[in-house]
Amino acid sequence: MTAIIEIFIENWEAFLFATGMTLKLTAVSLVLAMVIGLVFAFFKISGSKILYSIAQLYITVIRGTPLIVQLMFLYFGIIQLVVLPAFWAGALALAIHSGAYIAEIFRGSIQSINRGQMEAARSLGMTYPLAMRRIILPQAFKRAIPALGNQFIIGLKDSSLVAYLGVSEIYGTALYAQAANFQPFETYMVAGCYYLVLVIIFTWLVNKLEQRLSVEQSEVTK
Amino acid sequence: MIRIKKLNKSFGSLHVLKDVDLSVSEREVVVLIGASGSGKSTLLRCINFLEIPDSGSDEISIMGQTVDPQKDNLNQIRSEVGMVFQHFNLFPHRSVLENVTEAPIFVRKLKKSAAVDMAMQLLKKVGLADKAKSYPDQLSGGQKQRVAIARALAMSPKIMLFDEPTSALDPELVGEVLQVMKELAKEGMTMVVVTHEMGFAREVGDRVMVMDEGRIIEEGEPVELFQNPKLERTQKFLSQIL
Repeated sequence: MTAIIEIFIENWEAFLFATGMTLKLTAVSLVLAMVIGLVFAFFKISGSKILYSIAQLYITVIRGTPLIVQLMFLYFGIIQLVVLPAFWAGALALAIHSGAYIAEIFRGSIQSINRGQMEAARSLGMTYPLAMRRIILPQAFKRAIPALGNQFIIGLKDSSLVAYLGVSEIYGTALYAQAANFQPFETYMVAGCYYLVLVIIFTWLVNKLEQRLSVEQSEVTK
Repeated sequence: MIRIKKLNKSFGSLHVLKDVDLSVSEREVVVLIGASGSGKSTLLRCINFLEIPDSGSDEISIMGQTVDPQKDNLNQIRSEVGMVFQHFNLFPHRSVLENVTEAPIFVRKLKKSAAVDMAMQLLKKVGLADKAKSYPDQLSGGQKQRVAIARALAMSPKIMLFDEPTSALDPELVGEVLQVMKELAKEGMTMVVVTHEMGFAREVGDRVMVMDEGRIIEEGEPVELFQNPKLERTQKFLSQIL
């Protein structure tokens, strides 16, 4: 126990910096993943066979291969075309990875909205894009929050693999530290705690958001 | 106001509407009745192009304008034709007031203050001004349907279509919705109503049309048609619901 605390104290600066890096990686990749996910969700529901097939191929390949393979493939593939810093290569790979799962989350939640909503919107003269933006997506997004929150947590933890591209996020920092102090058990324990705390905070935020959105809708009037 | 000639609509191999002719004059209230599956709702939904008629359908003209669903701006036409659904289809994430102002603001590009003023007047008209800030899930079925009517009226439609507006309501809530519809009819709104409310048809309807297996098989003035139906099929249907 004392060894763990010692390692915690010895490395707190490095881990604090690493936490920032993990959060940056997660945030950048998830924002990109949401955009990718939304685009491919629309491909799937577009009714166009070509777009549907493109989305289906993307989702199948991404879900069917390990993240670490995608990460290495992208990093060493891209490096031959453009020089991309490891951080951005990692963020991009994570985004492409999460995007496939988020596409399915968005598709499911959009399709779960009652058909009558779109019909009512169209019957008022709204165009399809306007009805999507004003009527369907706000409801679908709210319905997607629990699944999205789950995906975000997975994304946060998956960002640890970017350590293998040489990015000093939490896991990468632990990797270096244990090589120097010869105490892998204690060092990884500390790294694990950092992730755990981040995930707990994140879960709490998602729950808050969910609560706030459901209160907004059923605000009691006097 | 509405002129339809030889309208056909199929879903896959299912031929739902067969050479339907329908014309509705200004200020007229037409009531469509018929067994479920007879094509009433589909006919109604073809009038504002929620369903696109089969190509080869002869002619649909709305307000004197012949419509080609492939080329014309259907959004424009839909904004002139109000529709009220059996299951209300209010927007659950928007307040009652926002349900009514949504289309005027985003389709008609009305200023928000003007849209709110108009919406409040319409809500007053359907007796729900005090519910403006409520959300749909806090309303009874009858209240929801009255909001849905106000929402449709907010686009100042020339024609109102009602698709079984009272079928999903508890019996004691039917009256309040019919009352609003009667007032609309009295004001001279052109209406096409799919309903099983024979009292309403008799009191407000100018013409009743009976549909069966995708065709209009009989039509006439309500009292006359209810008392002396010509076809056996009509008699049978009426005896089931009266």
